[in-house]
Amino acid sequence: MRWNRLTRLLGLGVVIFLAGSAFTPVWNRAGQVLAPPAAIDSAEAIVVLAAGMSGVTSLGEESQRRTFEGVRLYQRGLAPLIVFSGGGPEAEVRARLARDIGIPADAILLESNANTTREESRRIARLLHPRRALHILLVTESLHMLRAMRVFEAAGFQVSPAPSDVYPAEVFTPEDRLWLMTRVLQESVALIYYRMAGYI
Amino acid sequence: MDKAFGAFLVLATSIAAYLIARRFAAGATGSLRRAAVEALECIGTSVVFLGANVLVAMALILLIRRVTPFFITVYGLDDPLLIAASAFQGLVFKMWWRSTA
Repeated sequence: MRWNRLTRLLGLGVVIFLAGSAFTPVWNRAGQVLAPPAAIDSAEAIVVLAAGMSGVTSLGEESQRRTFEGVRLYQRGLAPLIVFSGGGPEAEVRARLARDIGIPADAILLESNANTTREESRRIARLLHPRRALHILLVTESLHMLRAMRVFEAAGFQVSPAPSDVYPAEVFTPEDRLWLMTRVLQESVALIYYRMAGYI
Repeated sequence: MDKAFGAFLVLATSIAAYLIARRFAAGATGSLRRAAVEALECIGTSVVFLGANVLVAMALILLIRRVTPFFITVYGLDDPLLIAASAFQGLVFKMWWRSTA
């Protein structure tokens, strides 16, 4: 009977939690804590973090968004180099897209072996530090930005955030707010893990 | 689908189900309040399974990353199938628990 009472309270708590998450801006506020505002500045390189493929040959929606943001920053003349990250074919597909829309091939660098944000920071440091590129414009999803900034700073970079979206400020429907809740919880757990592991 | 229309639809089918059950199975239905409480217990049990599934999966993923050359992403844990499977586990466990009580 104690188990029944416990699960009843838990069930009620979950219903209230989900209703509050879907119909109030609580996760928009929480998301803004994880999403540092853009600080677009001239830098020595633009770094576009991986976001995954959609199938074998197409970039996922988030990957496309980050790629276009990186290209846009390059075309504004904010840095002479652009690094595309992404495991498997992602980095190469992004580079091909960038070349097709006018980015010179010799301005593009690729990193295609990292599996995690920390690995990306370390591998990209090996790519950029010898070129004396220490100040970077970091392009990633807004909710991923805080953790990505910290780990790239730990790898020796000065980081200017260039988020590819403003999700916490533009999500209003109940289903989008539930998605936002999931992303904020994921990133919070990842941030705690990175702190505990001493990565940041 | 418009949210108000969706809410209307759910309300309408709920009222229809209630009226049909009252009309054709009058002595066989119990208290609605009791049913709502049991539904909450099912949700709570499912959440326990979801939490356990996520924790065990994260531990296994971190272990596999540490001791093997294979990489498994933790982002896969937001798969709606895991939520559906946990809900099914919770429902079956709750029914089993009730039948043995």
